[in-house]
Amino acid sequence: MTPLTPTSSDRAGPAATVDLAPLRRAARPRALEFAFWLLPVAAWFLFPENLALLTQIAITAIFALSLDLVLGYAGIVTLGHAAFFGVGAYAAGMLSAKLGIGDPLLGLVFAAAVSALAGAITSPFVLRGTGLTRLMVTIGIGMMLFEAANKANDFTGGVDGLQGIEMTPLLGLWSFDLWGKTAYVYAVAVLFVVFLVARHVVGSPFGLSLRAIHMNAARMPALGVSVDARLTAAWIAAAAIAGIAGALLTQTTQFVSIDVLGFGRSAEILLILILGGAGRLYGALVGAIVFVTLHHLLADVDPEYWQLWIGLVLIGIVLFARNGLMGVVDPFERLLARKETKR
Amino acid sequence: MSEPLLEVVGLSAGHGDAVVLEDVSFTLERGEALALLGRNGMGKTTLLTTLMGLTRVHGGTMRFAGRDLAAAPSHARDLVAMPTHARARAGLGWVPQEREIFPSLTVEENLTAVDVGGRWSLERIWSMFPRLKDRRANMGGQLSGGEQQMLAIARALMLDPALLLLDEPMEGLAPLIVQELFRIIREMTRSGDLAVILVEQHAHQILPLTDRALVLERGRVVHLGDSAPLVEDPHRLDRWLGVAGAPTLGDMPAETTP
Repeated sequence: MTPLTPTSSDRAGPAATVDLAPLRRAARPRALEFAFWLLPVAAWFLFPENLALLTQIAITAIFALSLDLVLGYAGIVTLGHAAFFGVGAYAAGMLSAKLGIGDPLLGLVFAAAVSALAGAITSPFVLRGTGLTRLMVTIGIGMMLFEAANKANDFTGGVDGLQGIEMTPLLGLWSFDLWGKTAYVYAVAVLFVVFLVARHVVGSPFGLSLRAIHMNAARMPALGVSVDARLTAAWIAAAAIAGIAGALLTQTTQFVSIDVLGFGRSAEILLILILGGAGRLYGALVGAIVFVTLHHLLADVDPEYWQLWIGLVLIGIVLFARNGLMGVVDPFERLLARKETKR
Repeated sequence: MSEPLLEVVGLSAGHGDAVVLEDVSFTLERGEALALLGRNGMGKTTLLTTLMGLTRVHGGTMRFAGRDLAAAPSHARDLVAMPTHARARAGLGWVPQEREIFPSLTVEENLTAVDVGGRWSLERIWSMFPRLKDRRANMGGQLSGGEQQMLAIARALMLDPALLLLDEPMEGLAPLIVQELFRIIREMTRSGDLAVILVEQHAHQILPLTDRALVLERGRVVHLGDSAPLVEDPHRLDRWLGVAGAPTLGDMPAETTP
């Protein structure tokens, strides 16, 4: 029983030289990525008056990243993702308002855990169907949670919202100020950490297997992958991240509106992800930046009919950039890749 | 090593109520290479998919690496079967004819997506499939048919199988690629730690690569024995396999062409 040994000595030529192409591939985006992550720093100095809006962008970006995991990578189309955002928002809110625990990081962890639990409970129902059936189930779950929050107004405040949320200083050092400085840094820091985790996950064998399931689920079992188990894991992880986004909204606004569970939020985040480009992480970030900014600007210009304008802009973008805004860079990437293979 | 790697006894299976395989029995030792022969539609592919748990088993038992793949509790109507992904994890590597590599993952990603941290590292794969190494950054969809076949085999190896099921790996490929695949399969079968079931219509190509041959006719085993005598007996092969069994110019063994 000798183990297989490479015997292709005649092939040693190309194999022996160190192949730097993969390194170059990995290094190139990294430079661009550094540049991208300078944006939130630059925004801090450029728009000190708009930190609340920038915080909204960061929170929306986390929510969009969460949806990207299930939709862009695992291929689960959902119109009920606000369910987990809302569960996280209420979890963080009640921890402070009902239990008097105002530590923000503890609140995040708690919200993530509660949302993950909600994800675990809902996953068998969502993953049971496929296609439109699955979509219906996600909408149904979202609607039920909304009504549950509405009905339980003793706990949630119903349509009046949940009040009495107070945050203790972040890490015991920085209290949440009126100008939203702490809130902004806090939200961006959480976004960065969530992004790093997501980036690591999608590049791991687990993340690749999600994309493979997306392409050809029927092939996966014979490759040793339990499709249900992987999708369940992705669903729960995304639920936890959506919960973190919801909790951040609660903590930075110190209020929970029942809108956090609304169907509109589910539809909007789907729009944001498609706008930015699904399945590439940065699409979620770019989509959030563009959408929330557009929303803000258009609502300023035309407070009454802003939705008409945003609809027009979105249709325009989607018509001309079919793979989302980030899809615009694809041809350049291909060009670079071709150059590289020629080298 | 008293127990064989794979033990199939009285297996009947098919699609829905249709029975394709009837009363199939054979064993396979660790590291053994078995040629699975027969004309089109005789049940060769169904035998492989049945091992993977993708068909309906009507009766019989399959034991692989000491575990029951399908056991029949007397009271149950259907057999209790090990799920397909568990079979793959237990060491059954299946390379279907359709290959089905992932088109928008790179060659390397196609491999790491199913990595279980077994004995097959990427380095080991690259040394066996230098052509794949050259194309590691290419998308799966950009590969030629032969490269796709290599990738499909390499991907199955990433699961660290004890038994590799190859379904007509040479089908429709250019002679040069067929030679390279021959080299790869020979390397695998001679290593001694990987058992292979090789399905082919062109028997003379694979008989020299295998220890034993199993011939299926209408879902039943009509021959099970050493490969070597069969090579010397074209008449018997001809009866079971028809013209497909006879050598043709395009399929000459690898050594005869430069």
